[in-house]
Amino acid sequence: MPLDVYTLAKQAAIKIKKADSNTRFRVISHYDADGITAATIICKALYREGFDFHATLMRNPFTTGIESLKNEENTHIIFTDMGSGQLSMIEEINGQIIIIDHHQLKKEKTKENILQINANQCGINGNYEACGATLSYAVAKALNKKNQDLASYAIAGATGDKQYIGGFKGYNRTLIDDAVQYNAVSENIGLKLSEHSISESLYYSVEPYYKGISGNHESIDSLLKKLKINSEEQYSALSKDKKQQLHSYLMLCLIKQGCESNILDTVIRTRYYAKHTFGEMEQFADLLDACGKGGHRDIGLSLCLGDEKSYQKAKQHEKTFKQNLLESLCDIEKKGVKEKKSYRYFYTDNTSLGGVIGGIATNFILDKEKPLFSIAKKQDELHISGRGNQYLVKKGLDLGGAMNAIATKFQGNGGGHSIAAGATLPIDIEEQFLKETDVLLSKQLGL
Amino acid sequence: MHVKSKIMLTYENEKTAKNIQQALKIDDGIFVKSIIQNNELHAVIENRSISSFLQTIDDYLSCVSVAENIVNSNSKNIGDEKKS
Repeated sequence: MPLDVYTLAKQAAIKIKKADSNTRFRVISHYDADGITAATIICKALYREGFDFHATLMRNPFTTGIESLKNEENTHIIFTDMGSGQLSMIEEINGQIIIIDHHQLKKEKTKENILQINANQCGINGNYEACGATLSYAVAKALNKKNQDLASYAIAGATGDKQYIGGFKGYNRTLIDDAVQYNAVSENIGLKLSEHSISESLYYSVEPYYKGISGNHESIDSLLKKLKINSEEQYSALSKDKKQQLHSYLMLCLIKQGCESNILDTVIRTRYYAKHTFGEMEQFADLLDACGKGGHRDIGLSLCLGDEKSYQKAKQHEKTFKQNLLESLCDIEKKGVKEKKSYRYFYTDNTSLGGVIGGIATNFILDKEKPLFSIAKKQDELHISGRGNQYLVKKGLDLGGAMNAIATKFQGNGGGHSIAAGATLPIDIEEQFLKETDVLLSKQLGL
Repeated sequence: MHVKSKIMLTYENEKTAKNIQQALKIDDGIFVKSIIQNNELHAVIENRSISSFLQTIDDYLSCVSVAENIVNSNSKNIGDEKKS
C-alpha cells in the first residue's frame, strides 16, 4: 500500500515545528536546478517559521560531503533532492533528519530519527511526476499555507529536471494547476528564446540544439536574412507572421535532424512565468543549472533567496557555461561518439558537464536506439553519467539499476533514475565498466 | 499549439486526382481537409501538437501511396483489357 505524500509532508512539518525556536537547520541539497530550488523552498519556509538555516549544495557521489557532515554538530538536518540513495551513510548521522527525494528508493524502512519522503514510496513516479522541489513544496505548504507563493520555485525545479517531457503529469500537474489558479504563475505558449537579440538567443540555444545553427554565427545571420528578421530584434517583439515563420523553420530543422516526437512537443509548448524566476521557468532553470554545474552554486542559491544583484553575475556565468557546452555538442555533431552493442559513450574533461552534454546529445543529435554515457577521469576516479530516453525505458532500460549494480560490484557509488543515472568508480576499472555495462544493458534491452 | 501544413499533390489529370481524393475521403475530416484544383489535390492538415501532426501526415501519405498504387494498377488493368 503506497504512503500518502501529503500525510508524510504533514509529519515533516510537525517534526520541524517541534524544534526549539533557536534551532539552526542544516539544509543539504543537490547542486542542479532542482536541488537549488528545493533548498530555496525549504530555507524560505524555515526562515518564515523563525528558524535559522545553513544550506550546502552537494554534487554526486555525495560521499565527501556527507562524511564532513558527520563531523558537524547538527540537531536537525533536511536533505532535499538527494538522500534516498545515500541512506546507509545518512543513518550514521545523529539528530532529527528529514529526507525529501525523488530518486530511486533503496530502502523504505529507516531509523527512527529519519523521516523519508520519497515520491516512489507514495505511488508517484519519481522520474516523471515529482522532483525534489515539488516534494519540498508539499512540506513548505504543510508548514504554512502562505508558502504557496513558493510554487514558482517548485515548477522551475521540475522544469530543470525535464519533467515537462511528455507534458507535466500526476503530482506535478496538480501542483501547477493550483499555482495557475491562484496566480502564483502565469502561462503562455512559446519557444525557448531568451530576451536577448534573436541572433544571440539562437547562438546560445543548447537545448533545443539546432544542428548547424546553435553556436554558428554565420548560419544564424544567413537564416535571419532569409526570413527577413532583424538579428538585433527580441523574439517577443517579433510580429505574429515572423514568429510563425521562425517556428516553422526551427521545427523543420529538428524534424530533419531526427528528433523524437515527444522531444519536438517540448520545443513550442505551454511555458510558465513568475516574478520570482525572472520570467520563463526553463530559462531560469537553465540559469541555475549553469551556476550549479559551472562551479558557482552560491550564486544560484543567493539569486533564489532574493539577492537580485546576483542575476547579472549568474547570466555571465551562464554564457561561459553554454559556450563550453556548445563546443562539446558541435564536436559530437561533427565527430560522433564511440559505440558498444547496447550503448554509446564519449570522454569529457569536465565531470559536471558530462550529464548535460549526454542529455542534449541524446535528444537532439543522436538517434533514440541507445543510451549515451559520458566518462570523465578525475584524479583516481571515473565519473560516469548516463542518459536514456522514454522509448528505451519502455523497452526495459534502467540506468539507475545498472549504475547501482556496477558501483556495488566495484566498490564505487552509483544510482539515479531509469532514464538518467551516474556512478563514480575506481579509475582502474574502465575496461571492466565498459564491458559489464554492455552485458547489463543488453540484458535490460533484450539485445 | 496549432500546427498546420498544406500539401499539394500533382497528377496526370483531374480524373486521377479525383480518384485519389475519393479513395482518401474516409480519412478526411477533423485533421485533414482536401480539395481538387484541376489536376492537383490540395490537402490541409491541422493538429494541436507536433507529435500528432507527424502521426497524421505519416498516415495520410501512407494512404496516398496505397491509393496511388491501386489507381495506377486499375488504369493499367483497364489498358490491358482494352488491348486484349
